[in-house]
Amino acid sequence: MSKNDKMMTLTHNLTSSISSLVQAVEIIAECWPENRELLDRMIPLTKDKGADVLLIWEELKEELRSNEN
Amino acid sequence: MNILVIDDDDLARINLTHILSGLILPEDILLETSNQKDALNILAQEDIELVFIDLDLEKELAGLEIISKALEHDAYPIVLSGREESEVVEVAYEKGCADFLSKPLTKDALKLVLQKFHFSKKYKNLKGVIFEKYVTQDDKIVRQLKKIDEIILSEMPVLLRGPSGTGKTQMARIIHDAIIGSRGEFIHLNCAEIPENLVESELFGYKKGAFTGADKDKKGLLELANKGTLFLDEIASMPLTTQQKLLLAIEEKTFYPLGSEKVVKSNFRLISATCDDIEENIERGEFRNDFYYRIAGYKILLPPLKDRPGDIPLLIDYFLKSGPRRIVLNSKAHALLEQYAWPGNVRELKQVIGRLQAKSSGIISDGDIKQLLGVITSEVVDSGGFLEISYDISSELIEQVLELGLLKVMANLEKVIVQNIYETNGQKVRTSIQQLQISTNRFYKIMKHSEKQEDDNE
Repeated sequence: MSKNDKMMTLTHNLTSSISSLVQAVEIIAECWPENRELLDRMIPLTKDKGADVLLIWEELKEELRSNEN
Repeated sequence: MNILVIDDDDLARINLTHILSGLILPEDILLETSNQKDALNILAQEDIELVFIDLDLEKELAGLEIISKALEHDAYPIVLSGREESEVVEVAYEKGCADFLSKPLTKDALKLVLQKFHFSKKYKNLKGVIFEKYVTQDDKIVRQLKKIDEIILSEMPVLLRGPSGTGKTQMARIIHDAIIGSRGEFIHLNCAEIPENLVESELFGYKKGAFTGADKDKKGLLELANKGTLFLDEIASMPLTTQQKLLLAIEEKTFYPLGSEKVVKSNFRLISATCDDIEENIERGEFRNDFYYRIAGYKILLPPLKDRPGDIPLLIDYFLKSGPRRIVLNSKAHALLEQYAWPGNVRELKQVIGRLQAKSSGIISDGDIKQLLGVITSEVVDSGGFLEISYDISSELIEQVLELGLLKVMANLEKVIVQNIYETNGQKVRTSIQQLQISTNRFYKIMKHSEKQEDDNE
């Protein structure tokens, strides 16, 4: 995979994960606090997705730095 | 209805199923899985009607394989992906996905997809119905009719083009029956058969006292076609002023009856037909350009029968089977019918088969066909600038000449030919004159003469 392709994939993954996360947060807000079953499924996954976003962001920053060098 | 959501991103999958659950019926069942193997098992075991497939599962582009399997199981596949590469989108459509949606999906996008799915489900057998009623194997017609879904979804006006007798009215009726059926009326107006000054009152209706003779309110065809179909045959004959008014009525879905200040709403599906070259009419200033583009949202061309010889045996068979009486054609009779040019197209062929079915003998010979078609051009040779045409002349005709003299028989023959073409064209004067290549005066003179003769005989 070329550097450019990797950057594109990372950027895409980041925006896609953030969109998914935002959508999940909206659903959680909408269902709070009645739909306990759904919230129990979503909240841990939302945390994981948040962690994914941070990981992808770190990876993207690394890629940007290596490109500068 | 069972719906399956396949996505290896757990959060994205839950998001999607949650939004979907707010858009479907309470009795609908939502199933979900994160991997290809389970997805294929569910498709094989459950009666899935709608499936959302994430393109990239445990393997990249694994979703493409699921599209084919979904189609095998009669499910409606929708692909979800964050990928934007046009090659990927193209491959997914080639595989047969009904829609390709970008992730994450919004509620509006899902609403649209569900609407399209319900349309598709409702009209699943539409193509089959159309091909059952309009007999053809002509590639050009088949290709056009296969896009019939576009007509339904877009509600675009349809323009049917083709020479007289190719089945434009029948096609309009088929489209109406398939899409609207008994929920609305099929209102048919032949614009060429109605005097120019009456077209508007017919279309828009009028209030009592709107003009001399308007002694009571009358609903127009536009109003009668509400929730149904307005079929305007021979649209090229519509006066320019009426075109302008109709253009507004089509766009606004409202109009004013003549002499009325009260607006009338009408939501109709417009189908028009013409055998004229409308582009030429536009160049001559006889047809409005804007009106043409409004009515020609979806064009269907029905070519003359001579340009689709493969359809002739199919149609012969179809009309023979659909007639009230079973008859058999010998091979020469069949060949004669297949070789004939059919200037009156499908309508003429149907009439000929109808007349053959009325014959006393159940076995039809080539002689019967020759007699029925009158004279069949058997050979045309260019000889020094003149056309030498040889005919098969029936013995009956020779006997008439010997008895009445050539001039009387020729005059009679002229009358028979003109009447035949006129009837074959569904009594359309303009088309008959064009085909006969005679002047309007000559046409009426012959027709008047034939009417006078009929009166004398009575």
